Amino acid sequence: MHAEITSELRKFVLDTFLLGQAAHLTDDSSFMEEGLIDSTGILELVSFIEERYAMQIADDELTPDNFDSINRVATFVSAKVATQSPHASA
Amino acid sequence: MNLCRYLLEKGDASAPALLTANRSYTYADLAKAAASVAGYLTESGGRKGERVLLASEGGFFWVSVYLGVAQAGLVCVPLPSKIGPTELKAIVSSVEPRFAFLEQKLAPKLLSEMGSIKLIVDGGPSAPLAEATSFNDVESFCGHGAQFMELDPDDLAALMFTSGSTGLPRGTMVSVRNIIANTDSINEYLGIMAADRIMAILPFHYCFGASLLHTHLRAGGSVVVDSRFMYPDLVLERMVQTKCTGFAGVPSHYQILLRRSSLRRMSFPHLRYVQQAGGHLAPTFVNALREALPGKQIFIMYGQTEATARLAYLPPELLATKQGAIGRAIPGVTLEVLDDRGRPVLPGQIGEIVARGENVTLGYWRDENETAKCFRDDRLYTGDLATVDEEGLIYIVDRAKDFVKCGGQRVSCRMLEDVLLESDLLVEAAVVGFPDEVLGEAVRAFVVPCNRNTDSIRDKVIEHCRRRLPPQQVPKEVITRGSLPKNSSGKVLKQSLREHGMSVGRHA
Repeated sequence: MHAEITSELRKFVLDTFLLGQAAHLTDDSSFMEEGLIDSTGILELVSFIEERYAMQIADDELTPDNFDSINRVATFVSAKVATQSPHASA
Repeated sequence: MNLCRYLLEKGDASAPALLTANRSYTYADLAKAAASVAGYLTESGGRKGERVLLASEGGFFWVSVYLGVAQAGLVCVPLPSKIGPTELKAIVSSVEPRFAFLEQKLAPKLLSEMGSIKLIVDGGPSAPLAEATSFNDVESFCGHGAQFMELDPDDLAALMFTSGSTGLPRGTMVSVRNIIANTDSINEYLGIMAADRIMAILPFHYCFGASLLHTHLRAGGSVVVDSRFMYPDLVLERMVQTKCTGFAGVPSHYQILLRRSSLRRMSFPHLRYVQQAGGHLAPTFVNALREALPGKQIFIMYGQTEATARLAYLPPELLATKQGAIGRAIPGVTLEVLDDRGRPVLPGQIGEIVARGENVTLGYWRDENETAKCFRDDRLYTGDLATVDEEGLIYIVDRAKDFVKCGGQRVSCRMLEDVLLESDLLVEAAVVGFPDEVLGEAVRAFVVPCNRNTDSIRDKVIEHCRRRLPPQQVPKEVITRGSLPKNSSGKVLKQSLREHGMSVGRHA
Protein backbone atom coordinates (compact mmCIF):
# COMPACT_ATOMS: atom_id res chain seq x y z
CA MET A 1 0.00 0.00 0.00
CA HIS A 2 2.76 2.40 1.04
CA ALA A 3 4.76 1.70 -2.11
CA GLU A 4 1.74 2.26 -4.31
CA ILE A 5 0.90 5.55 -2.61
CA THR A 6 4.54 6.65 -2.87
CA SER A 7 4.57 6.03 -6.58
CA GLU A 8 1.27 7.85 -7.15
CA LEU A 9 2.44 10.84 -5.12
CA ARG A 10 5.72 10.91 -6.92
CA LYS A 11 3.97 11.01 -10.26
CA PHE A 12 1.63 13.77 -9.09
CA VAL A 13 4.48 15.92 -7.73
CA LEU A 14 6.54 15.42 -10.88
CA ASP A 15 3.68 16.18 -13.25
CA THR A 16 2.29 19.11 -11.30
CA PHE A 17 5.32 20.94 -9.94
CA LEU A 18 8.29 19.79 -12.00
CA LEU A 19 6.56 19.39 -15.33
CA GLY A 20 7.84 15.86 -15.55
CA GLN A 21 11.52 16.68 -15.00
CA ALA A 22 12.77 14.38 -12.28
CA ALA A 23 16.08 16.28 -12.00
CA HIS A 24 17.03 16.02 -8.35
CA LEU A 25 13.80 14.80 -6.86
CA THR A 26 14.20 11.88 -4.49
CA ASP A 27 11.52 10.53 -2.22
CA ASP A 28 13.23 12.29 0.67
CA SER A 29 13.78 15.68 -1.02
CA SER A 30 12.41 18.44 1.19
CA PHE A 31 9.74 20.38 -0.73
CA MET A 32 10.49 23.42 1.38
CA GLU A 33 14.28 23.41 1.13
CA GLU A 34 14.33 22.60 -2.56
CA GLY A 35 11.69 25.24 -3.18
CA LEU A 36 9.63 22.69 -5.12
CA ILE A 37 6.21 23.65 -3.85
CA ASP A 38 4.80 26.97 -2.66
CA SER A 39 1.82 27.84 -0.50
CA THR A 40 -0.76 27.36 -3.22
CA GLY A 41 1.07 24.31 -4.54
CA ILE A 42 0.69 22.54 -1.25
CA LEU A 43 -3.05 23.18 -1.37
CA GLU A 44 -3.04 21.49 -4.73
CA LEU A 45 -1.26 18.50 -3.21
CA VAL A 46 -3.76 18.47 -0.34
CA SER A 47 -6.68 18.56 -2.78
CA PHE A 48 -5.19 15.71 -4.77
CA ILE A 49 -4.78 13.57 -1.65
CA GLU A 50 -8.24 14.42 -0.33
CA GLU A 51 -9.80 13.44 -3.60
CA ARG A 52 -7.67 10.45 -4.51
CA TYR A 53 -7.72 8.81 -1.07
CA ALA A 54 -11.13 10.07 0.02
CA MET A 55 -9.93 11.66 3.21
CA GLN A 56 -10.04 15.04 4.87
CA ILE A 57 -6.90 16.77 5.97
CA ALA A 58 -7.26 19.09 8.93
CA ASP A 59 -5.49 22.46 8.94
CA ASP A 60 -3.24 21.44 11.80
CA GLU A 61 -2.15 18.30 9.95
CA LEU A 62 -0.52 20.52 7.34
CA THR A 63 2.98 20.34 8.85
CA PRO A 64 6.45 19.55 7.50
CA ASP A 65 6.44 16.29 9.51
CA ASN A 66 3.49 15.10 7.46
CA PHE A 67 4.08 16.87 4.18
CA ASP A 68 7.66 17.86 3.50
CA SER A 69 8.74 15.01 1.20
CA ILE A 70 7.18 12.31 -0.90
CA ASN A 71 8.06 9.72 1.73
CA ARG A 72 6.57 11.76 4.54
CA VAL A 73 3.35 12.35 2.67
CA ALA A 74 3.16 8.64 1.77
CA THR A 75 3.66 7.62 5.40
CA PHE A 76 1.08 10.12 6.58
CA VAL A 77 -1.46 9.08 3.95
CA SER A 78 -0.90 5.34 4.50
CA ALA A 79 -1.42 5.74 8.25
CA LYS A 80 -4.56 7.75 7.69
CA VAL A 81 -5.94 5.26 5.16
CA ALA A 82 -5.33 2.50 7.69
CA THR A 83 -7.21 4.25 10.50
CA GLN A 84 -10.05 5.25 8.22
CA SER A 85 -10.76 1.79 6.86
CA PRO A 86 -9.63 -0.95 9.24
CA HIS A 87 -10.92 -3.62 6.86
CA ALA A 88 -9.30 -2.20 3.80
CA SER A 89 -7.31 -5.35 3.15
CA ALA A 90 -10.49 -7.41 2.86
CA MET B 1 22.80 60.84 0.81
CA ASN B 2 23.30 57.12 1.23
CA LEU B 3 20.50 54.58 1.39
CA CYS B 4 22.35 52.11 3.61
CA ARG B 5 23.10 54.79 6.18
CA TYR B 6 19.49 55.99 6.04
CA LEU B 7 18.23 52.45 6.68
CA LEU B 8 20.57 51.58 9.54
CA GLU B 9 21.16 54.84 11.38
CA LYS B 10 18.10 54.69 13.67
CA GLY B 11 18.62 51.13 14.91
CA ASP B 12 20.28 50.51 18.26
CA ALA B 13 23.53 48.61 17.58
CA SER B 14 22.63 45.80 19.97
CA ALA B 15 18.95 45.61 19.01
CA PRO B 16 17.68 42.75 16.83
CA ALA B 17 17.16 43.78 13.20
CA LEU B 18 16.68 40.52 11.33
CA LEU B 19 15.48 37.12 12.55
CA THR B 20 16.08 34.25 10.17
CA ALA B 21 15.31 30.55 10.59
CA ASN B 22 18.57 29.97 12.44
CA ARG B 23 19.45 33.10 14.31
CA SER B 24 18.95 36.73 15.10
CA TYR B 25 21.12 39.54 13.70
CA THR B 26 21.56 42.90 15.38
CA TYR B 27 21.94 46.28 13.72
CA ALA B 28 25.67 46.02 14.43
CA ASP B 29 25.75 42.66 12.58
CA LEU B 30 24.01 44.16 9.55
CA ALA B 31 26.26 47.23 9.54
CA LYS B 32 29.34 45.02 9.63
CA ALA B 33 28.08 42.75 6.85
CA ALA B 34 27.10 45.73 4.69
CA ALA B 35 30.53 47.28 5.17
CA SER B 36 32.20 44.02 4.15
CA VAL B 37 30.13 43.76 0.97
CA ALA B 38 30.69 47.46 0.21
CA GLY B 39 34.43 47.09 0.84
CA TYR B 40 34.58 44.03 -1.41
CA LEU B 41 32.67 45.74 -4.24
CA THR B 42 34.83 48.86 -4.10
CA GLU B 43 38.04 46.86 -3.88
CA SER B 44 36.93 44.76 -6.87
CA GLY B 45 36.53 47.90 -8.95
CA GLY B 46 32.78 48.36 -8.57
CA ARG B 47 31.75 51.92 -9.28
CA LYS B 48 28.72 54.06 -8.55
CA GLY B 49 25.79 53.21 -10.82
CA GLU B 50 26.99 49.75 -11.84
CA ARG B 51 24.44 46.99 -11.50
CA VAL B 52 24.55 44.05 -9.11
CA LEU B 53 22.22 41.07 -9.52
CA LEU B 54 20.88 39.52 -6.35
CA ALA B 55 18.97 36.25 -6.57
CA SER B 56 18.28 34.42 -3.35
CA GLU B 57 15.58 33.74 -0.80
CA GLY B 58 15.31 36.62 1.64
CA GLY B 59 17.68 36.06 4.57
CA PHE B 60 20.94 37.36 5.99
CA PHE B 61 22.70 36.91 2.64
CA TRP B 62 20.05 38.92 0.82
CA VAL B 63 19.96 41.74 3.35
CA SER B 64 23.77 41.97 3.63
CA VAL B 65 24.20 42.25 -0.12
CA TYR B 66 21.35 44.73 -0.54
CA LEU B 67 22.73 47.01 2.17
CA GLY B 68 26.33 46.61 1.00
CA VAL B 69 25.43 47.49 -2.59
CA ALA B 70 23.63 50.59 -1.28
CA GLN B 71 26.57 51.56 0.91
CA ALA B 72 28.95 51.37 -2.06
CA GLY B 73 26.56 53.33 -4.29
CA LEU B 74 25.93 50.58 -6.82
CA VAL B 75 22.49 49.58 -8.11
CA CYS B 76 20.82 46.46 -6.77
CA VAL B 77 18.78 44.29 -9.15
CA PRO B 78 16.87 41.83 -6.95
CA LEU B 79 15.41 38.88 -8.81
CA PRO B 80 13.06 36.09 -7.81
CA SER B 81 15.04 33.10 -6.60
CA LYS B 82 13.07 30.91 -8.99
CA ILE B 83 13.70 32.96 -12.10
CA GLY B 84 13.83 30.93 -15.29
CA PRO B 85 16.71 30.96 -17.80
CA THR B 86 14.85 32.92 -20.50
CA GLU B 87 13.89 35.79 -18.24
CA LEU B 88 17.31 35.80 -16.64
CA LYS B 89 19.06 35.97 -19.98
CA ALA B 90 16.91 38.92 -21.03
CA ILE B 91 17.59 40.75 -17.78
CA VAL B 92 21.32 40.08 -17.88
CA SER B 93 21.63 41.43 -21.41
CA SER B 94 19.55 44.47 -20.55
CA VAL B 95 21.12 45.53 -17.23
CA GLU B 96 24.71 44.42 -17.98
CA PRO B 97 25.57 43.65 -14.38
CA ARG B 98 29.13 43.80 -13.10
CA PHE B 99 28.48 41.44 -10.17
CA ALA B 100 25.95 38.73 -9.33
CA PHE B 101 25.28 37.43 -5.84
CA LEU B 102 23.48 34.11 -5.97
CA GLU B 103 22.21 31.54 -3.56
CA GLN B 104 24.23 28.37 -3.99
CA LYS B 105 21.44 26.13 -5.18
CA LEU B 106 20.45 28.66 -7.85
CA ALA B 107 23.93 29.23 -9.12
CA PRO B 108 24.31 26.17 -11.39
CA LYS B 109 21.22 26.94 -13.45
CA LEU B 110 22.25 30.56 -13.84
CA LEU B 111 25.85 29.85 -14.61
CA SER B 112 25.52 29.62 -18.37
CA GLU B 113 23.98 33.09 -18.46
CA MET B 114 26.70 34.75 -16.50
CA GLY B 115 29.38 35.38 -19.08
CA SER B 116 32.09 37.60 -17.63
CA ILE B 117 30.09 38.73 -14.63
CA LYS B 118 31.80 38.37 -11.27
CA LEU B 119 29.90 35.66 -9.44
CA ILE B 120 29.59 35.48 -5.65
CA VAL B 121 27.85 32.45 -4.22
CA ASP B 122 26.31 32.08 -0.79
CA GLY B 123 27.75 29.09 1.03
CA GLY B 124 30.86 28.81 -1.11
CA PRO B 125 31.64 27.47 -4.55
CA SER B 126 30.82 23.88 -5.39
CA ALA B 127 32.10 21.72 -8.24
CA PRO B 128 30.62 23.48 -11.28
CA LEU B 129 31.34 26.86 -9.77
CA ALA B 130 35.03 26.73 -9.12
CA GLU B 131 35.40 30.20 -10.59
CA ALA B 132 32.93 31.78 -8.22
CA THR B 133 33.85 33.67 -5.09
CA SER B 134 32.44 32.38 -1.83
CA PHE B 135 30.30 34.78 0.15
CA ASN B 136 32.23 33.64 3.21
CA ASP B 137 35.29 35.34 1.75
CA VAL B 138 33.29 38.49 1.12
CA GLU B 139 31.86 38.42 4.63
CA SER B 140 35.28 38.12 6.20
CA PHE B 141 36.52 40.95 4.00
CA CYS B 142 37.50 43.68 6.36
CA GLY B 143 34.97 46.36 5.64
CA HIS B 144 36.19 48.50 8.46
CA GLY B 145 36.29 52.04 7.22
CA ALA B 146 34.37 51.21 4.04
CA GLN B 147 32.95 54.46 2.74
CA PHE B 148 29.31 55.38 2.38
CA MET B 149 29.19 56.58 -1.21
CA GLU B 150 27.35 59.90 -1.26
CA LEU B 151 24.69 59.86 -3.97
CA ASP B 152 22.39 62.47 -5.45
CA PRO B 153 18.70 62.03 -4.64
CA ASP B 154 17.92 61.02 -8.22
CA ASP B 155 20.71 58.47 -8.48
CA LEU B 156 19.53 54.90 -8.96
CA ALA B 157 19.27 52.63 -5.93
CA ALA B 158 17.54 49.62 -7.49
CA LEU B 159 16.02 48.17 -10.61
CA MET B 160 12.86 46.34 -9.62
CA PHE B 161 11.75 43.88 -12.26
CA THR B 162 8.12 42.92 -12.58
CA SER B 163 6.73 40.37 -14.94
CA GLY B 164 4.22 42.18 -17.09
CA SER B 165 1.15 40.29 -18.20
CA THR B 166 2.65 40.28 -21.66
CA GLY B 167 6.22 40.05 -22.86
CA LEU B 168 9.44 40.19 -20.91
CA PRO B 169 9.92 41.64 -17.46
CA ARG B 170 10.25 45.40 -17.08
CA GLY B 171 12.75 47.04 -14.77
CA THR B 172 11.46 50.00 -12.78
CA MET B 173 14.19 52.52 -11.97
CA VAL B 174 13.97 53.35 -8.27
CA SER B 175 16.04 56.24 -6.95
CA VAL B 176 17.44 56.82 -3.49
CA ARG B 177 14.94 59.65 -3.00
CA ASN B 178 12.06 57.36 -4.04
CA ILE B 179 12.84 54.78 -1.37
CA ILE B 180 13.42 57.35 1.36
CA ALA B 181 10.20 59.23 0.57
CA ASN B 182 8.05 56.09 0.44
CA THR B 183 9.60 54.62 3.58
CA ASP B 184 9.06 57.79 5.64
CA SER B 185 5.50 58.03 4.41
CA ILE B 186 4.63 54.41 5.22
CA ASN B 187 6.19 54.68 8.66
CA GLU B 188 4.09 57.74 9.32
CA TYR B 189 0.68 56.26 8.49
CA LEU B 190 1.39 52.77 9.89
CA GLY B 191 2.99 54.27 12.98
CA ILE B 192 5.95 51.88 12.80
CA MET B 193 8.36 52.28 15.71
CA ALA B 194 11.44 50.58 17.11
CA ALA B 195 9.19 48.22 19.07
CA ASP B 196 7.60 46.91 15.88
CA ARG B 197 8.43 43.56 14.42
CA ILE B 198 6.99 42.34 11.13
CA MET B 199 6.48 38.78 9.91
CA ALA B 200 7.87 38.91 6.36
CA ILE B 201 6.67 36.02 4.23
CA LEU B 202 6.83 38.18 1.09
CA PRO B 203 9.99 37.99 -0.99
CA PHE B 204 12.19 41.09 -0.83
CA HIS B 205 12.57 41.25 -4.61
CA TYR B 206 8.90 42.26 -4.67
CA CYS B 207 8.36 45.94 -3.85
CA PHE B 208 5.86 45.13 -1.08
CA GLY B 209 8.38 42.79 0.57
CA ALA B 210 11.17 45.36 0.17
CA SER B 211 8.96 47.99 1.81
CA LEU B 212 8.73 45.82 4.94
CA LEU B 213 12.50 45.71 5.18
CA HIS B 214 12.93 49.43 4.48
CA THR B 215 10.30 50.61 6.94
CA HIS B 216 11.30 48.41 9.85
CA LEU B 217 15.02 49.02 9.53
CA ARG B 218 14.46 52.77 9.27
CA ALA B 219 12.30 52.69 12.40
CA GLY B 220 14.88 50.65 14.30
CA GLY B 221 12.44 47.74 14.47
CA SER B 222 12.92 44.17 13.30
CA VAL B 223 11.96 41.79 10.51
CA VAL B 224 11.28 38.08 10.87
CA VAL B 225 11.81 36.22 7.60
CA ASP B 226 9.98 32.98 7.10
CA SER B 227 9.61 31.18 3.80
CA ARG B 228 7.38 28.40 5.13
CA PHE B 229 3.99 29.83 4.30
CA MET B 230 3.17 26.54 2.58
CA TYR B 231 2.58 25.42 6.18
CA PRO B 232 0.59 28.43 7.38
CA ASP B 233 0.29 27.24 10.98
CA LEU B 234 4.08 27.20 11.33
CA VAL B 235 4.22 30.84 10.33
CA LEU B 236 1.42 31.73 12.75
CA GLU B 237 3.16 29.91 15.60
CA ARG B 238 6.41 31.70 14.79
CA MET B 239 4.57 35.03 14.89
CA VAL B 240 3.48 34.24 18.43
CA GLN B 241 6.91 32.96 19.49
CA THR B 242 8.80 35.92 18.07
CA LYS B 243 6.19 38.41 19.32
CA CYS B 244 5.46 39.93 15.93
CA THR B 245 3.50 43.18 16.05
CA GLY B 246 2.67 43.12 12.36
CA PHE B 247 1.87 40.84 9.45
CA ALA B 248 1.82 41.64 5.72
CA GLY B 249 0.33 39.68 2.86
CA VAL B 250 -1.29 39.73 -0.55
CA PRO B 251 -4.89 38.53 -0.99
CA SER B 252 -4.00 34.85 -1.45
CA HIS B 253 -2.15 34.82 1.88
CA TYR B 254 -5.21 36.09 3.74
CA GLN B 255 -7.46 33.70 1.83
CA ILE B 256 -5.32 30.74 2.84
CA LEU B 257 -5.07 31.96 6.45
CA LEU B 258 -8.82 32.38 6.71
CA ARG B 259 -9.86 29.18 4.99
CA ARG B 260 -6.94 26.79 5.55
CA SER B 261 -5.15 27.58 8.83
CA SER B 262 -5.67 27.79 12.58
CA LEU B 263 -5.84 31.61 12.48
CA ARG B 264 -9.28 31.78 14.08
CA ARG B 265 -8.36 29.38 16.87
CA MET B 266 -5.18 31.19 17.85
CA SER B 267 -4.55 34.44 19.67
CA PHE B 268 -1.79 36.90 18.94
CA PRO B 269 -1.13 38.92 22.07
CA HIS B 270 1.61 41.06 20.53
CA LEU B 271 0.00 41.68 17.17
CA ARG B 272 -0.91 45.33 16.60
CA TYR B 273 -1.97 45.36 12.98
CA VAL B 274 -1.99 43.56 9.64
CA GLN B 275 -1.35 45.11 6.22
CA GLN B 276 -2.72 43.94 2.88
CA ALA B 277 -1.71 45.07 -0.60
CA GLY B 278 -0.94 43.48 -3.95
CA GLY B 279 -4.48 43.24 -5.26
CA HIS B 280 -8.10 43.19 -4.28
CA LEU B 281 -9.14 41.24 -1.19
CA ALA B 282 -12.83 40.35 -1.51
CA PRO B 283 -15.06 42.05 1.10
CA THR B 284 -16.10 38.68 2.49
CA PHE B 285 -12.46 38.01 3.45
CA VAL B 286 -12.00 41.50 4.88
CA ASN B 287 -15.01 40.89 7.11
CA ALA B 288 -13.74 37.44 8.09
CA LEU B 289 -10.39 39.00 8.95
CA ARG B 290 -12.04 41.55 11.22
CA GLU B 291 -13.82 38.73 13.01
CA ALA B 292 -10.70 36.57 13.25
CA LEU B 293 -8.53 39.40 14.61
CA PRO B 294 -10.74 41.41 16.95
CA GLY B 295 -9.12 44.59 18.21
CA LYS B 296 -6.30 44.49 15.65
CA GLN B 297 -5.94 47.20 13.04
CA ILE B 298 -6.39 46.16 9.41
CA PHE B 299 -4.74 48.31 6.75
CA ILE B 300 -5.96 47.80 3.20
CA MET B 301 -3.45 49.41 0.87
CA TYR B 302 -2.69 50.05 -2.77
CA GLY B 303 0.48 50.63 -4.70
CA GLN B 304 2.67 49.84 -7.66
CA THR B 305 6.32 49.08 -8.24
CA GLU B 306 6.33 52.22 -10.41
CA ALA B 307 5.55 54.20 -7.25
CA THR B 308 8.36 52.46 -5.29
CA ALA B 309 5.70 50.49 -3.42
CA ARG B 310 2.80 52.40 -1.90
CA LEU B 311 0.31 55.01 -3.06
CA ALA B 312 -2.83 54.73 -0.92
CA TYR B 313 -4.21 53.24 2.26
CA LEU B 314 -7.58 52.97 3.90
CA PRO B 315 -7.49 54.18 7.52
CA PRO B 316 -8.62 51.17 9.63
CA GLU B 317 -11.42 53.16 11.24
CA LEU B 318 -13.05 53.51 7.82
CA LEU B 319 -12.92 49.80 7.01
CA ALA B 320 -16.46 49.13 8.15
CA THR B 321 -18.06 52.04 6.31
CA LYS B 322 -15.90 52.25 3.19
CA GLN B 323 -15.80 48.66 2.13
CA GLY B 324 -13.96 48.00 -1.11
CA ALA B 325 -12.09 51.34 -1.06
CA ILE B 326 -8.33 51.56 -1.44
CA GLY B 327 -8.59 54.73 0.62
CA ARG B 328 -6.65 57.94 0.25
CA ALA B 329 -3.20 59.00 -0.82
CA ILE B 330 -0.44 58.28 1.67
CA PRO B 331 1.39 61.28 3.19
CA GLY B 332 3.41 63.17 0.59
CA VAL B 333 1.51 61.74 -2.38
CA THR B 334 -1.25 63.36 -4.46
CA LEU B 335 -3.71 61.07 -6.17
CA GLU B 336 -6.23 62.14 -8.75
CA VAL B 337 -8.71 60.17 -10.78
CA LEU B 338 -8.75 61.71 -14.24
CA ASP B 339 -11.02 61.22 -17.24
CA ASP B 340 -9.90 60.85 -20.87
CA ARG B 341 -9.32 64.58 -21.17
CA GLY B 342 -7.28 64.79 -17.99
CA ARG B 343 -10.03 66.32 -15.84
CA PRO B 344 -10.79 65.05 -12.33
CA VAL B 345 -13.87 62.83 -12.44
CA LEU B 346 -17.05 63.61 -10.53
CA PRO B 347 -18.13 61.20 -7.79
CA GLY B 348 -19.32 57.99 -9.41
CA GLN B 349 -17.57 58.52 -12.75
CA ILE B 350 -14.74 56.28 -13.83
CA GLY B 351 -11.23 57.55 -14.54
CA GLU B 352 -7.57 56.59 -14.28
CA ILE B 353 -5.58 56.93 -11.07
CA VAL B 354 -2.74 59.40 -11.55
CA ALA B 355 -0.09 59.97 -8.88
CA ARG B 356 2.42 62.63 -7.99
CA GLY B 357 5.01 62.50 -5.26
CA GLU B 358 8.65 61.85 -4.49
CA ASN B 359 8.00 58.10 -4.61
CA VAL B 360 7.10 58.20 -8.31
CA THR B 361 10.04 56.40 -9.87
CA LEU B 362 12.24 57.47 -12.75
CA GLY B 363 10.61 55.19 -15.35
CA TYR B 364 11.50 51.89 -16.99
CA TRP B 365 15.09 50.83 -17.56
CA ARG B 366 16.10 51.34 -21.19
CA ASP B 367 12.53 51.49 -22.37
CA GLU B 368 11.65 55.01 -23.45
CA ASN B 369 8.39 54.07 -25.14
CA GLU B 370 6.88 52.41 -22.09
CA THR B 371 8.25 55.14 -19.85
CA ALA B 372 6.61 57.82 -21.99
CA LYS B 373 3.28 56.03 -21.75
CA CYS B 374 3.16 55.81 -17.95
CA PHE B 375 5.37 58.65 -16.72
CA ARG B 376 4.33 62.08 -18.01
CA ASP B 377 4.72 65.59 -16.54
CA ASP B 378 6.16 64.26 -13.29
CA ARG B 379 3.12 62.09 -12.84
CA LEU B 380 2.57 58.36 -12.84
CA TYR B 381 -0.37 57.14 -14.93
CA THR B 382 -1.16 53.91 -13.15
CA GLY B 383 -3.44 52.32 -15.74
CA ASP B 384 -5.81 51.47 -12.89
CA LEU B 385 -9.42 52.57 -13.31
CA ALA B 386 -11.25 53.95 -10.32
CA THR B 387 -14.08 56.05 -8.96
CA VAL B 388 -14.07 58.57 -6.13
CA ASP B 389 -16.82 59.12 -3.56
CA GLU B 390 -17.99 62.42 -2.06
CA GLU B 391 -15.40 62.15 0.70
CA GLY B 392 -12.52 61.63 -1.70
CA LEU B 393 -12.03 57.93 -1.07
CA ILE B 394 -10.90 55.98 -4.10
CA TYR B 395 -12.37 52.69 -5.32
CA ILE B 396 -10.58 50.61 -7.94
CA VAL B 397 -13.08 49.56 -10.56
CA ASP B 398 -11.21 46.90 -12.45
CA ARG B 399 -8.32 46.36 -14.74
CA ALA B 400 -9.37 47.77 -18.05
CA LYS B 401 -9.65 44.36 -19.68
CA ASP B 402 -11.01 42.37 -16.77
CA PHE B 403 -14.60 42.25 -17.90
CA VAL B 404 -16.93 39.64 -19.28
CA LYS B 405 -19.40 40.85 -21.86
CA CYS B 406 -22.55 38.83 -21.18
CA GLY B 407 -25.69 39.58 -23.15
CA GLY B 408 -24.20 42.85 -24.35
CA GLN B 409 -23.48 44.04 -20.81
CA ARG B 410 -20.02 44.53 -19.37
CA VAL B 411 -19.76 42.73 -16.07
CA SER B 412 -16.78 43.15 -13.80
CA CYS B 413 -14.90 39.91 -13.17
CA ARG B 414 -13.94 41.19 -9.75
CA MET B 415 -17.59 41.67 -8.78
CA LEU B 416 -18.35 38.11 -9.86
CA GLU B 417 -15.33 36.78 -7.97
CA ASP B 418 -16.44 38.62 -4.83
CA VAL B 419 -19.87 36.99 -5.12
CA LEU B 420 -18.36 33.53 -5.61
CA LEU B 421 -16.13 33.93 -2.56
CA GLU B 422 -19.06 34.88 -0.34
CA SER B 423 -20.12 31.24 -0.43
CA ASP B 424 -17.63 30.06 2.25
CA LEU B 425 -16.94 27.03 0.07
CA LEU B 426 -13.93 28.51 -1.70
CA VAL B 427 -10.39 29.61 -1.00
CA GLU B 428 -9.96 31.35 -4.33
CA ALA B 429 -11.94 32.14 -7.43
CA ALA B 430 -11.08 33.68 -10.78
CA VAL B 431 -13.53 34.50 -13.53
CA VAL B 432 -12.90 34.73 -17.26
CA GLY B 433 -15.22 34.99 -20.24
CA PHE B 434 -15.58 32.43 -23.02
CA PRO B 435 -17.46 32.57 -26.31
CA ASP B 436 -21.14 31.69 -26.09
CA GLU B 437 -23.64 31.55 -28.94
CA VAL B 438 -26.45 33.14 -27.01
CA LEU B 439 -24.75 35.56 -24.65
CA GLY B 440 -21.74 36.54 -26.73
CA GLU B 441 -19.61 35.71 -23.74
CA ALA B 442 -20.46 33.47 -20.83
CA VAL B 443 -18.87 33.28 -17.41
CA ARG B 444 -16.32 30.59 -16.68
CA ALA B 445 -15.26 30.36 -13.03
CA PHE B 446 -12.09 28.67 -11.84
CA VAL B 447 -12.55 27.85 -8.17
CA VAL B 448 -10.35 26.41 -5.44
CA PRO B 449 -12.60 24.67 -2.93
CA CYS B 450 -11.76 24.74 0.79
CA ASN B 451 -12.37 21.05 0.78
CA ARG B 452 -12.37 18.96 -2.36
CA ASN B 453 -14.62 16.42 -0.70
CA THR B 454 -17.52 18.79 -0.49
CA ASP B 455 -20.15 17.00 -2.55
CA SER B 456 -21.07 18.47 -5.89
CA ILE B 457 -19.15 21.68 -5.38
CA ARG B 458 -20.10 22.91 -8.83
CA ASP B 459 -23.82 22.63 -8.13
CA LYS B 460 -23.43 24.40 -4.83
CA VAL B 461 -21.42 27.21 -6.37
CA ILE B 462 -23.97 27.67 -9.14
CA GLU B 463 -26.86 27.55 -6.70
CA HIS B 464 -25.13 30.21 -4.60
CA CYS B 465 -24.65 32.42 -7.67
CA ARG B 466 -28.27 31.97 -8.79
CA ARG B 467 -29.43 33.49 -5.52
CA ARG B 468 -27.28 36.56 -6.04
CA LEU B 469 -26.85 37.21 -9.74
CA PRO B 470 -29.01 37.73 -12.81
CA PRO B 471 -29.20 34.53 -14.88
CA GLN B 472 -26.78 35.59 -17.64
CA GLN B 473 -24.05 36.33 -15.07
CA VAL B 474 -24.27 32.96 -13.34
CA PRO B 475 -21.18 30.92 -14.33
CA LYS B 476 -21.97 28.58 -17.16
CA GLU B 477 -18.88 26.56 -16.34
CA VAL B 478 -17.31 25.97 -12.95
CA ILE B 479 -13.89 24.37 -13.02
CA THR B 480 -12.38 23.19 -9.76
CA ARG B 481 -8.65 23.51 -9.28
CA GLY B 482 -6.22 22.74 -6.48
CA SER B 483 -4.80 26.24 -6.88
CA LEU B 484 -4.76 29.13 -9.32
CA PRO B 485 -1.68 29.99 -11.40
CA LYS B 486 0.15 32.97 -9.90
CA ASN B 487 3.25 35.03 -10.47
CA SER B 488 5.99 35.22 -7.84
CA SER B 489 4.25 38.05 -6.01
CA GLY B 490 1.04 36.10 -5.70
CA LYS B 491 -1.05 37.73 -8.43
CA VAL B 492 -3.41 35.43 -10.30
CA LEU B 493 -2.39 35.02 -13.93
CA LYS B 494 -5.70 35.58 -15.69
CA GLN B 495 -4.20 35.25 -19.15
CA SER B 496 -3.02 31.76 -18.36
CA LEU B 497 -6.54 30.85 -17.24
CA ARG B 498 -8.00 32.31 -20.42
CA GLU B 499 -5.61 30.27 -22.51
CA HIS B 500 -6.11 27.18 -20.44
CA GLY B 501 -9.82 27.61 -20.76
CA MET B 502 -9.56 27.15 -24.50
CA SER B 503 -8.50 23.56 -24.06
CA VAL B 504 -11.03 22.74 -21.38
CA GLY B 505 -14.08 20.75 -22.39
CA ARG B 506 -17.57 21.89 -21.63
CA HIS B 507 -18.04 19.36 -18.90
CA ALA B 508 -14.83 20.13 -17.06
